[in-house]
Amino acid sequence: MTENKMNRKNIPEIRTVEKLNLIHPEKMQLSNGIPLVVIDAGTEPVCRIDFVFEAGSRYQDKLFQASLTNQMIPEGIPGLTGGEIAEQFEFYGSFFNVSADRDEADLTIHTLEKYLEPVLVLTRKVLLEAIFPEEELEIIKANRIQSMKVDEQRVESQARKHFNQAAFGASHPYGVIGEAVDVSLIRSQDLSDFHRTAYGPRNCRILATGPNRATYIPLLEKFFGSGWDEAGNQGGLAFSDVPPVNPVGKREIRVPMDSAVQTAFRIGCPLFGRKHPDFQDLTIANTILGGYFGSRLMSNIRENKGYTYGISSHVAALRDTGFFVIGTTVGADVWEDAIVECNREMTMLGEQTIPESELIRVKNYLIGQLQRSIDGPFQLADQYRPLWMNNLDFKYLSDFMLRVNHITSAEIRILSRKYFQPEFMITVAAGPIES
Amino acid sequence: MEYTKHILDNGLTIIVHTDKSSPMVAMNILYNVGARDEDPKLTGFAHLFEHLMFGGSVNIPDFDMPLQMAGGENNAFTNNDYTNYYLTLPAQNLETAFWLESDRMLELAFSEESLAVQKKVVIEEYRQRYLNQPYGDAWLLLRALAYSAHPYRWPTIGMEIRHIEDATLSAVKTFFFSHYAPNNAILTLAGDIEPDQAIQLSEKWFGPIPSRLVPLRNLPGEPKQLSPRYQEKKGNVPGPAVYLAWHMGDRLSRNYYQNDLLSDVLSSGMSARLFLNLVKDKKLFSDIDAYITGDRDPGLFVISGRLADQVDPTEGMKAVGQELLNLIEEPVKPRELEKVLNRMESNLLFNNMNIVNKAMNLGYYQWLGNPARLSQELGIYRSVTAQELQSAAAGLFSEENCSRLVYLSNDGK
Repeated sequence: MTENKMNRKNIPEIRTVEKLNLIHPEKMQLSNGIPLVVIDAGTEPVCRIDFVFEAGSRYQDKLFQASLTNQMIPEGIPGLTGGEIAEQFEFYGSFFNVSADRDEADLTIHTLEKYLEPVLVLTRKVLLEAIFPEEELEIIKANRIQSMKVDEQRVESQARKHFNQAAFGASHPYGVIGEAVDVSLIRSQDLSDFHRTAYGPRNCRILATGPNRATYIPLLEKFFGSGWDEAGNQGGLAFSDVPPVNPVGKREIRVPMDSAVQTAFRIGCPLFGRKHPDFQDLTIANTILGGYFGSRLMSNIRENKGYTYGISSHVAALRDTGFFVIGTTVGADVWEDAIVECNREMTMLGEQTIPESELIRVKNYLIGQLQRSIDGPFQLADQYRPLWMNNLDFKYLSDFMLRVNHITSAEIRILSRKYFQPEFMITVAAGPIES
Repeated sequence: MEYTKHILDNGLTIIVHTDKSSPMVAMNILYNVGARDEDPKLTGFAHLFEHLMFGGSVNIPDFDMPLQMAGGENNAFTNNDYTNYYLTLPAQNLETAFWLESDRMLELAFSEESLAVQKKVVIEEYRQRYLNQPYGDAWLLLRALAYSAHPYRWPTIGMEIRHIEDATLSAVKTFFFSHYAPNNAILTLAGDIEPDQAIQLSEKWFGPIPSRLVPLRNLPGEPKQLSPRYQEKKGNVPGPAVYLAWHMGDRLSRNYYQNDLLSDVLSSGMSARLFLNLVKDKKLFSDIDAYITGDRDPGLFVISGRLADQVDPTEGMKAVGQELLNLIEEPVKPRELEKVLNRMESNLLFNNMNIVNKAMNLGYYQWLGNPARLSQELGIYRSVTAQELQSAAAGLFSEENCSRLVYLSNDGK
């Protein structure tokens, strides 16, 4: 094959992907009613079990109660210290992780299938019998306060915190800013109380992922399908509703940080959750604006002006609400111009129809992303879990694929005009600036 | 893990792994050039160059846009040893990946404009990741302290911003033609692709690219460290942190595996020694970690930690010293060794589960000398004995082999 026979100038023929290779999870219930979803996928002898609880910070009475409860669950049961518990999980080469966000809290296990049974025996004990030792709590609190001090000096963290506060309200669970003193006020009893209410079987869902369902379904039934209520965790939701979003009203917020050498800013507003009729279309419009490397914002602010290492925008879904946000960190001398440019890009999407070639590119890219996002058993689980927690399923992804295929440039313009309006945005900047 | 290996006439090495469980293909290209190959007066160049690889090639004005059109996504990273580019795309658009990657191996566009913009982008990256974060420059300082001669003494981002500003287009061209050559690269494909198809497409797109004269690597060796080194740095940080480094063996030496396991004994997981003893029991650190750099040439064994409130760094370092002494004086117990080996087994398995990681790992092990080594790693780790760990610790953790960086807040706390 010689060089002159080849066409290096033009892109080889592109074929669009017609349909997604979706493995539909199977929904079932343990005999005590715990909803179980099974994703029978993968080729390696490993599995992942997610125990998900409606136990995020929106349900707490005291700041940090939810995240500290979650973090402290593996820190002690009768007869075993936190270190001994960790040692047992780690001996089996398994990964036991806890995490808590605004809506949910979870315990997630990754393990070789051959060790699943002993790992689940231990998981059951830890989940049901956590005792929240005072001494371990003091260490975790002290370390949390130390890492909060580091965060206080990071422009990105400051911009994020103040944006959430401005968008949702200073007393709203999604907007409140917790301080070191709030951490120090938490007592072991607060965690036991929250654990008793939030970590029961009636507040739990289990997601099991791996290629060998015949192994893990019976084990999950054996260890979590009974005897949980009797152990004292009465569970069940007894939470107050989240108050309505109440933005603080101020639209321009400055957080002076004298010694910083760059400025981080966020531009955005509270919006809506996944079930809103505009959510999927807005996700597509947002991709054009700032949702991928070839986005308008990246092309302008990074690739054209060189103001930043990276800039992106997101349409983020929370349980009953959501928000839109642009975020970046830029040179201290150009942040105001960068904000002007962001606003200009938003306005332009609402005023000018995007070129057909750009629309096709974004559509193909998004379909590729959809394929990537479900390529592999754990990716499937990552995609399915938030949908399931919102009582949706993979039909949501096939619907999204349809929207990507059918959305027009006119629809994108109308939607952008409706939602990407600079005058409705909250702008928070943190850096070496004046207040 | 099964693979097929083929070498083109121009020297390009091709590795193919078929995985039909994925509808995608991952393409990984490793160029055997990293920050260690830089001119000491022009550090950060390999990484800046990586940015320029996206600024258009001789026949294609933009790399990203056609790839997005084909449903693909890509990224790249540079380290001290090599530069790695990877992408994934739907299998039916595979040829687009060959078209794009072969054109930028053939020749870059060498645009002044792209260079000017990417210098600014990289300078902002430098600021964002190294200067505008508490303790962000610790690694810059630690490398310079621990190394006196070997180019590992500077980080991939560069020794100083000035070096990035000084980069010229003619240096970019020279760098390209000396290092970005088929005979200095490894192409790996994983996913929904057969070896025959991969080799045929490689012949078509990469075959016509000429071999280039790649200068022989002749790096200054790092002289043995003969006395302890110490540096104090004050900065805008909330409290003190310490960084301790010891020189260790290279990536292919048995010493690498020994030290990797020693670092796991100290800090892999929540039951590891440093966390249990120094964070939870003695409450001296708020977090602490031990790890190895894993470089091709002799690298570093590092312990870094932030002190708990009101704890003096000297006291913290003394307690670390006691932990190291324990490793030297007593063999690791069988159950503890079994634990770190089981974790290693899981890590190796979980890190090799998707097509991008498979392509990247096969390319990396080919670069080390043999892709088959990927499947042999666990066996090597499992062959390490407690006695070996003990003598490795004794050889490593000597006072004269140690560099200490103590980071303090401006107000002296």
